[in-house]
Amino acid sequence: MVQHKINPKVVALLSVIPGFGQLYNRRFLKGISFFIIFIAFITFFYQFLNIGYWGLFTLGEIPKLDDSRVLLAQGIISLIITSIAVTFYILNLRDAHKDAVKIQKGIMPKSFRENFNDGWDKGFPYMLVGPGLFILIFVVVFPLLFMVFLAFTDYNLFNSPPKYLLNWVGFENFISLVAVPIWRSTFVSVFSWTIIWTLVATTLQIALALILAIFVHDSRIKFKKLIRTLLILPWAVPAFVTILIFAALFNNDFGAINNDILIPFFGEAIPWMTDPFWAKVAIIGIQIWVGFPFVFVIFTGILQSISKDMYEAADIDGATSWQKFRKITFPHVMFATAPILIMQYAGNFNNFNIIYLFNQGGPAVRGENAGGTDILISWVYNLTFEAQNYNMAAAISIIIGLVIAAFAFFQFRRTSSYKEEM
Amino acid sequence: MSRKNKSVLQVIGMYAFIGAIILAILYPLLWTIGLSLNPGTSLYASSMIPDNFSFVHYKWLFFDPASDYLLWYKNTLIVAVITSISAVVFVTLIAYAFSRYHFIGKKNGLYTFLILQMFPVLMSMVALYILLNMVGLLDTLTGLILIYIGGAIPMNVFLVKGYFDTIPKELDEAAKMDGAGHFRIFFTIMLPLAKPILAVVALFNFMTPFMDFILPSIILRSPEKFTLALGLFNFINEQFGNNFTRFAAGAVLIAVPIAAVFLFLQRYLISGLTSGATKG
Amino acid sequence: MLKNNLFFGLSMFCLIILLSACGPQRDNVEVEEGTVNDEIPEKPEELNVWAWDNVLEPLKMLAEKYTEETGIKVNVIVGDNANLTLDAPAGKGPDIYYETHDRMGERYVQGVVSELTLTDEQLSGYQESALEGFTYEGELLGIPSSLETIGLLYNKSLIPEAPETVEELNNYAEELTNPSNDEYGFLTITSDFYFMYPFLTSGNGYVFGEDEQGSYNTSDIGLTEDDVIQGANLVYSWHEDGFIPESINDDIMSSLFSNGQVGAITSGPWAVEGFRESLGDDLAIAPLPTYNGEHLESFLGVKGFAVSEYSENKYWATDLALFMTNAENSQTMFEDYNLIPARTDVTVDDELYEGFQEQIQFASPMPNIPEMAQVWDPMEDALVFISQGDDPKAVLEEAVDYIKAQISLMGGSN
Repeated sequence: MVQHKINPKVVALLSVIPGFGQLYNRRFLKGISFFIIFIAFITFFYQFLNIGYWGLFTLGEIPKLDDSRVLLAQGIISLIITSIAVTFYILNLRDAHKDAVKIQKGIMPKSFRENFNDGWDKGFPYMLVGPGLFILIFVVVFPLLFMVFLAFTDYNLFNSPPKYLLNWVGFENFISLVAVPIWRSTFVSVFSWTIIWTLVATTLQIALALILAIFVHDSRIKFKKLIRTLLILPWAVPAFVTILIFAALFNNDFGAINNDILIPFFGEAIPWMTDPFWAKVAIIGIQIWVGFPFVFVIFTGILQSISKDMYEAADIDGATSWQKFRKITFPHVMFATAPILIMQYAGNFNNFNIIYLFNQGGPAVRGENAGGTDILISWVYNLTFEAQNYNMAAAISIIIGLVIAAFAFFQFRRTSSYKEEM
Repeated sequence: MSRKNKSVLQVIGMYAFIGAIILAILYPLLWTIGLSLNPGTSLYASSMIPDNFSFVHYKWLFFDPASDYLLWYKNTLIVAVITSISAVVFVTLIAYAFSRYHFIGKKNGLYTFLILQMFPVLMSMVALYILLNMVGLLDTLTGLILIYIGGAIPMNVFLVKGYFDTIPKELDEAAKMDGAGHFRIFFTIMLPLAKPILAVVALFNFMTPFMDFILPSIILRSPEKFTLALGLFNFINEQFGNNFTRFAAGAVLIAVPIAAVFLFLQRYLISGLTSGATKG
Repeated sequence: MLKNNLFFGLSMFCLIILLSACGPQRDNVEVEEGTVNDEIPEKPEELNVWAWDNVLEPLKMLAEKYTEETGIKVNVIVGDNANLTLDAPAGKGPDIYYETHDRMGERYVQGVVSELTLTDEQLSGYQESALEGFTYEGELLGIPSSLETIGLLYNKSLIPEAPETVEELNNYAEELTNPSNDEYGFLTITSDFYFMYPFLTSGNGYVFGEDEQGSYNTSDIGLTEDDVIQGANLVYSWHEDGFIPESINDDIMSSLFSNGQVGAITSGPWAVEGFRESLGDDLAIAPLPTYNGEHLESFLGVKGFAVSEYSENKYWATDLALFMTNAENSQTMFEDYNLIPARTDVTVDDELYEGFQEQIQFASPMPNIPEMAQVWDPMEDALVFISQGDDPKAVLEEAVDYIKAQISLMGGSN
């Protein structure tokens, strides 16, 4: 049937216009559909891409008529659409080339039906992942790109669209972050508390969860179900409600913690809201309250899955409880949950809700520009929504992101689940 | 000290510790309930055990013509149910691919997205606003749902994939021998065995709309489209007046049903989450 | 394959360059400048108003009235004005929105408020200081509706006669304060610059210096003057003498005052009705006491309506704003909803609000430039340090340095 000579190079060249290579391969149905999709893509998206790329380069030309933010977004979406198109384009080339090579080697091209089955098998995972990936690109990747691009513009209150146009300023914002003293000193001081906050709050949260999980798991403890139910209650209450309630409870002069607990029983009040140290203690305490149940649930499940034989063997060897904990329980639990724990650390690093809702980053610290409990993300919030310093906020967000991503990347690589994929 | 005495002491110690923690958990919760039963609006004038119990705030939420609470409740339920179901569908399909098939991007794809999501997103709200406006989904619950689903995928896929990995591959290979197709294996073998983790994913995504107030505040504009968290948050927002006791009443009514579902699914929660989050 | 990729990468790149060179086809770009003609534009079908929750009901009522008169449907909804910069250009914004005058500078640089050109006839009847509050860089940006300032609210059963001077007030504090019973002679929110401004600026203090045209000079901050430091010492003495607890806030102050446990507080018209309900005839309101023989100057807050720059019916939007703030409606707004009119041709016939009326004479509008936003937080922090006993001079100097640095970071050219 297929007698005419096929030259793969010619095919590849013909495929510059999608579909033509397939037609040359005498795969008419495929060729025509590829070509139609190609034409449809061009006609449908031409105008959008045109404005998008123009907008991305110029960020608009006439103030008020052009909104730089919208043009930037359109530009990024154009980039995304283009990369999707390029991916399919390359697939088209490969497809034509591969078929041509097969034909040249004298392998009969399969029938449409065989082909379809083949494609169904091979394409199945892509079909499963495709729709999700599509949403992810627009919900996760697109906003992130938008932020990255903003960090290279001059978007602040005095130069804000729609009244003014944005301009590309290169690395200027990053340079000011290092070069302008007030930016630098604030950044450094906020950064160090962010690290302490992340390490202390998360570690304590995990430690409490572990202790409780082990205690409740102990065979001598009764009412396990009831206790577990009570212990996961904090998880079931919306965190923003809890935090606001705690803010009221911790009020120095009139809050219930000082008035109903500390003063009657210990005769002394603690300045939770006005002393930076105590504010930090309070906020770490609240985070532990809010955050431990999730970890507790996971640990509980793991403890139930550790085989009893190991402990029995240890008992025979005369091991103490502490030894059993150190040699069996702890490694087992930590090893199994590493990725989740990493995510816990990353989550707290970016835990905006608690800082903002508890006391907006306060109390003030003399000689410092950010509040006593401000972490990077709450500082970014202030820059964005209070000071409307969008460009700097974006630059700082990128730095935060890179730090946390680097940390997570190296930690993930050390975990077992990641290695298994290798 | 005899071994038995020591054991008794240990048990007492453990009970004491657990008891203290439970006390610390219950105290603010009970305080909130007490607060919601105070007649006034002031936080300070209220006490945990009010002098005169009053359901005035609950009555207001349900019956006052100015209250949109029931509407918000309905919106939130709509968003929660749709998000929950769609997320389960998307997540299980993707997790199935990650667990059982080979494809480009399998090795790093999931972790890449997990890491990308760690970037702070506050700034990107503007981008989502513009995007939704472009496609005409601004101020709609659909837009909100789509973003919730997208945001939920990486973490939940991670959990479900972990769970699928614990289901022996021999099972589906045997089914394949018998001529079962991709979907058949998925629906008849994987899904039934993965019930606990599906319950977890459904629960997580059901809860998100109840708890999040930041995203709705960017996307939703009309009060009749508000979700509970956003509406409630506005009770204590200065521009909207300051009413802490009413807020507490509204909050109690959110927390109670969620807590109920939560506790009802507790069994699944422990087994599902554990196998998903670890390598069984 | 590599060659192919390279080739397509290149061609895509060329395509991008090509596209970016194109851009939109705009032969005759019309940037609509306010076309000046005397014709009255056609009536729109409807106008949209963004209000705040606390004025939603009254504005809805006025909107209905306007519809009756003109036939234009008016939708009043609660809107967050911070969203205007996105919503207005996206076509989701209002025609007019309710706003405080001190946000006008910010709205102006964001480009979401339109300059108003009103005739003298249209402007007659509005209070001069209220119009001044809505004027930014010489442009009138809004139409004032109501006024707010703080006065001295006192409980006649504890303080029979309004204290004339701060010294008298302090005497009452001395006499009545008993913290163990939660009883206080005088409470105010010492960490809030809005409430403390009168005490800090009683002599030669000020926030921003003004030139002859009334424009603010942001590099001239008068918060380290001697009299400000004296005022700061007064604030500190209230804490030192135990008259005012350190973590006082609005919620606590209000509920104690409602319970009759406090002799006097400083507060504004927004709180009056709540107190009238709980204290009844015991409630009285006077202007702030004098300090060193001078009246205390409080911040004047003006609320009113701004016309969106993106409104397609600016003429009717302005008309609606004027209607909502005319004498008759201002009278209703006061009688039914207790909003003090920003007009001179409306009488306030309520003993309680007359106290505020009197204080308004001594009040001056809060600066409406965007830089003002940088003042609140540092001053609040400074006040906290002062009440904790730090040296006021050093604290205030630090605060002013910080404010100046923050202003320089805003990136404004002025």
